[in-house]
Amino acid sequence: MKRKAKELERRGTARLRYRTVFRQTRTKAGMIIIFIFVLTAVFAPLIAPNDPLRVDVARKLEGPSASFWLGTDQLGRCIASRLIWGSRNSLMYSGIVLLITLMIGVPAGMVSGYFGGKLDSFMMRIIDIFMAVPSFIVALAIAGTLGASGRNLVIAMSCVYWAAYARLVRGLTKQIKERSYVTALRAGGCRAGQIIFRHILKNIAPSVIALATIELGSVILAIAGFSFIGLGVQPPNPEWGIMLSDSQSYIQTYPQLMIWPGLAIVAVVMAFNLLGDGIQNGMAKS
Amino acid sequence: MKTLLETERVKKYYGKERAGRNNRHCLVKAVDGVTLQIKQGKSMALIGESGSGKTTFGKMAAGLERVSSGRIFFQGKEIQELKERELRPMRKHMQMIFQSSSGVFDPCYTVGESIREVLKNFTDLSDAECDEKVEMILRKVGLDPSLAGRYAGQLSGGQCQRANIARALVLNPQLVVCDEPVSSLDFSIRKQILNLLNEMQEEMDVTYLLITHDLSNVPYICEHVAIMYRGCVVEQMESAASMEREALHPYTNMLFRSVPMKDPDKRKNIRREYTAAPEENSFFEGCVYQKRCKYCMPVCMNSKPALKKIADGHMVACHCYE
Amino acid sequence: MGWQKAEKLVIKKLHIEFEMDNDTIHAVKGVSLEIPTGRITALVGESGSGKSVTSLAVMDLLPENGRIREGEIWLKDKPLHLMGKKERRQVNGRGVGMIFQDPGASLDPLYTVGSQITEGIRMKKQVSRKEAYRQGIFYLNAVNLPEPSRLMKMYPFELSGGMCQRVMIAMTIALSPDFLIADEPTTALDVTVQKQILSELYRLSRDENMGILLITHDLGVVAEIADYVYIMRQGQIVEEADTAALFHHPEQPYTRMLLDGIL
Repeated sequence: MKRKAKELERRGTARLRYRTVFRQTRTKAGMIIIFIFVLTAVFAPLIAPNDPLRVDVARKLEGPSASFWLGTDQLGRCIASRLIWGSRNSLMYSGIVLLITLMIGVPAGMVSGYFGGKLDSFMMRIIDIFMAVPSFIVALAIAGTLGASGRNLVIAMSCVYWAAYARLVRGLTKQIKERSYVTALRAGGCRAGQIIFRHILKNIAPSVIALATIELGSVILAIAGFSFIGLGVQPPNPEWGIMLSDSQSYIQTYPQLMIWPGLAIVAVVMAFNLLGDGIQNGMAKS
Repeated sequence: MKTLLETERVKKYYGKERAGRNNRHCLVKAVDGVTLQIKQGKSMALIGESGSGKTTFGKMAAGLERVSSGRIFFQGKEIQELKERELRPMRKHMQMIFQSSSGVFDPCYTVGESIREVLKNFTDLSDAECDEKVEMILRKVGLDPSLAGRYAGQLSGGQCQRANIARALVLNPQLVVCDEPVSSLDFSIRKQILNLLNEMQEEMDVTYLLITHDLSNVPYICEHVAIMYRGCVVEQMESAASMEREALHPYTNMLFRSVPMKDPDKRKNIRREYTAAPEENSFFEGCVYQKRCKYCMPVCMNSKPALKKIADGHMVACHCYE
Repeated sequence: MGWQKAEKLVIKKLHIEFEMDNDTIHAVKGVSLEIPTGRITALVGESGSGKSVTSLAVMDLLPENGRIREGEIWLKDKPLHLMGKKERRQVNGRGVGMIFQDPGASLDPLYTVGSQITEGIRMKKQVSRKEAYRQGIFYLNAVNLPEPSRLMKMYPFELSGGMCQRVMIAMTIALSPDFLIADEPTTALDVTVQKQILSELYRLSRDENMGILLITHDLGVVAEIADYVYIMRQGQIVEEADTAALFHHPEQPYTRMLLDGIL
């Protein structure tokens, strides 16, 4: 993530050419998959054929059939329904993490970059501290003290991920601050808040969007990963990471338990990466 | 005549005074004690090469940069110590036109929106009234009002600069600091823009502080002239029309000799001696021009000459005229 | 005129096109120029007239999407338009050199002046590093820069715009080209520095018999040093004459408009 953020900072505050973005095949591919993903997540109750939590041990480890589209898992639950409801969980948790990190990181970075001085030094030290700590340790610490749950995972990840946004935004703000139009805005009587939130924000938006899009894929992957090792969303919640973790003992006998959630994760993360790449390519060189 | 802007020994220093490597001093005296008076209705030109400190001085005069020491009075009120909050209402009366024409507008907003924002900052006009005013000012500067819907990147250099002027004049300020308003434009449109500035001066009763390095710009707009070199004012005159004839300071004379000839028949012998500009931060006592001056005397190296009145409205800082 | 006997850089009916967003822009439409050695030829036009593009074509520096559709470029008796990339690269620098508008941006900020001049010389001449260094100092002196040996150790950001431009000129003349293209060399500089650079160019044309193509939009500069003037507008030459003749008896309304614009 830090590497991507550095790359975006290097490109500076380029303008986003929407036509270039959406003309690329990779963007189109990514958007289609994401669209399906979001639709599935939103309309999960309507699409899922069965109740994802309903246990029916008599019908465990069955193959695909009319009532169980992808078969059943080791407790007789419908894999397809769990996959569909799992997408809802993934979208929800990752969306919340994204929202929190943006709402903390972006204003912090802008204020720090614009005002500079002692405030900036102070903020940079805090950002450095948060970036130095690996997310795994933080998640472990929080899970250990507050207990492992989806909510606590969100807190842990937000704590770590906001710093990269803040640093990117700070760098970009400093670049923009030197431009003539910021001095012109000051001469035109704009207040600092006005300049920061009406003008600078709009100019750095393309870079932030590009980073956020790429990051969303990583967040989804991370949530699945943490849930896999038991630090995040807890069973029996349908979540792709948990489904993978459950399938460990059945790799050789019933590999479909692992393949379906695995494919889902790969597809969604790749889709976000493609979209993010497409956006990054669409940022014209300034 | 009312004094619009007055500065008293204004200085702007960057860095700290300490010996760096090779005993180089790290203090940059961008503006070193400038005392000027701009009277209402009498525009002043501040002429100097790059590095003379004129842009820094202009920014301080417009309230966009803090002074290191000295005082600035705008309409009699001392402004150098004011906080941003207190200074903001005064910006209505002092505006600035910047050098780079298209970089002055936020690329995310149209030109019309940018001008409207300035209006909204200082007045309570409704949206419709603002739009009317924007249209009016665009027409005044010679732009079609439909261009208000364009972004800065979609306008030509000349159009952008006109929009820049519109932005500065929409509030009807009393003082406008023009920082090299035509330097980045094609030669063919410079005259048009200078004429426009002149028209606006008469129509809207605005006084300019014109900052430029190009002497030919001056007689179009200004009556008073001040020449700056390395942060100090070396000559001040009150008649721009006859400045070439009356110039006394060696630096001013050199500036005039450097202006390209307009008539090929009058081509002078252009093989000249070279006067190398001194190192950027070299420190020396005495007159700032001593390193390049043909008439440098021992006294010039010891003491800095003060601005002395030679004739009515003409002041020179040179030991030759004391 | 003695110009007929001089060797020339000749451009005949040049057409240059650019590909942009599925559109072909015809930037230069049948331009013909003659640049004799020992004289300063000015190419005057506003931005967008195509004057810089013409010079880039001579130096084979057109961007990816630009190409010469038709026309000829003759360097004395060598046809540049027929040469391959490798041959052109050999001609650049030794046959014709170029200096650009923004002197600060033309020099690499990470290397000292000395290393850049030495590298430039060694690229074209087969000399040792020491010899190239010595020649570098010689040429810095030739363009009247003070303390050349100290200057060789300085970085571009330590120099003023005028000094950078003179370093550029030194680097270019170190290869003793027959022709020099100066693309708006003084636009970014103050009047006093401009005077020095123009004097330098004048000296090069008269003393070193260099043919200089001066591209500018400032007619004042043209009046100061140019011998012959071409006026370019929207990709075409609209008028050409001796400097004095052009200033006193301009024929085209566009020329008259440009002359009116002199402050």
